[in-house]
Amino acid sequence: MSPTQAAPVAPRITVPPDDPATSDRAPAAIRSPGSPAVSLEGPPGGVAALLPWFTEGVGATAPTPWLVAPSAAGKGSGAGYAGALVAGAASPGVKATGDWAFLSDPSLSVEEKLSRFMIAVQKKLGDQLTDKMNDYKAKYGEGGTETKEKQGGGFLGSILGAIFPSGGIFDKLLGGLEDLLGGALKSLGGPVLAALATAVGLPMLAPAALKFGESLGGALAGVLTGDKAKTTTTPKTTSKPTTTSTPKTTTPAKKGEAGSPDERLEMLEIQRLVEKQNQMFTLVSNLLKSMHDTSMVAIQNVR
Amino acid sequence: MIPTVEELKAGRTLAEIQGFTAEMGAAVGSLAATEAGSGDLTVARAILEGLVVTNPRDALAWALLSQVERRRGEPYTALLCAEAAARLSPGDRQVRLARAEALLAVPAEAGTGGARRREVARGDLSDLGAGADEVARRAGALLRALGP
Repeated sequence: MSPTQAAPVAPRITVPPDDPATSDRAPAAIRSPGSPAVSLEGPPGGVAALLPWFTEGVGATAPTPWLVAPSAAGKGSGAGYAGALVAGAASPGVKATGDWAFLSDPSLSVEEKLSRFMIAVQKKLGDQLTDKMNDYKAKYGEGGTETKEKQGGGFLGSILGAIFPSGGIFDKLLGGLEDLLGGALKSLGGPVLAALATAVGLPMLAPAALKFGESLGGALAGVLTGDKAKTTTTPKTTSKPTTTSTPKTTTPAKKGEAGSPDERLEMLEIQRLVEKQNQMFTLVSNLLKSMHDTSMVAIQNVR
Repeated sequence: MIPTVEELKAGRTLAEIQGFTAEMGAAVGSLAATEAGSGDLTVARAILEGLVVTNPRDALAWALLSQVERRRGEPYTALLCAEAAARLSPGDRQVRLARAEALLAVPAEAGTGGARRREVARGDLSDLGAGADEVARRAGALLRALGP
């Protein structure tokens, strides 16, 4: 304990530090100077019987902190104050090796561990939040649409290739229908497209399909509608684009992306992380408050 | 329980993760078939899409979805679904019927393989025609409609 820490305690103790036997008895006499001194070692049924908590520390080898002599403060009661006042300073004997090594550091108080725990968790959550925001920017920020189109085209081609391998019977059966089949694939939507990728043996493409499927449908709807209108001649299929795809193309891609389920999902995820941070603050704040209240109750009882 | 990306990449289905049994899948499929039979194709499609997302390896769900898409006037989507079903269960009679129907639903003028699609479908239906179940009856009816 440093001298500045010991200062508030010292005035209450007027007994020389080198006399522990007398120092135990002195404070009681000092607190009631006008009255006869109350001896804690008096007859049974005296103060000890009325205030057992009071005599508990006096009779023992380790007295209650505020009765202790300054010379003894360093060993017995210093842990609680030292950690709080010298925050962040690790004990020289402890070598922290990992992010969570402080939890097993015996020189740290609970308050100190809590504060470091909060800092570590906060850092982790902050990193996650930054990653999520970067993801969001990459997908829905400037230049995101181009990225999506390129990536989407790649995995859609893979899925279509897996369903209808080129060079086989499918070339003879479905020759010239590649655009229409591609359009149908894109119109399936994210989850069903992901399921289709899994069904045809490409589960590794499922997450990409899930992410990009729906937005791709909107982004490329204009191209698809044009293809369908040009290539299909039967009444059955020519009526289809006007009923299903035309609304998507009126204001292409951009408007659809702004409120797309994927984008909302990303925002919800960011919101969840922020709420998690708030919860962490509240949790630690409540813990510290309850610990403070407990200490205050003890101090009030002593007074 | 929400699946992780790792689980999806590893090929685990939602049904496996969530404890969704085959009996439950069959019940949901029956419900969708009933809705489709009563003409509510939108509801049937929504149910079946949910089913294939829950378990992408359910060939019958893909086959049913193919039939619903075909009846909705989406022959190419129906073909994709039928091919997915055929990949999962190539020998299943109902799946083969769905695939033949999807092939026939593609307009003959579209692409370059109209006549060949018709022949392939006819071959599939001829194999399915033997028997007395619903699939055989349906295959027989299609064969008669196709003519000699």
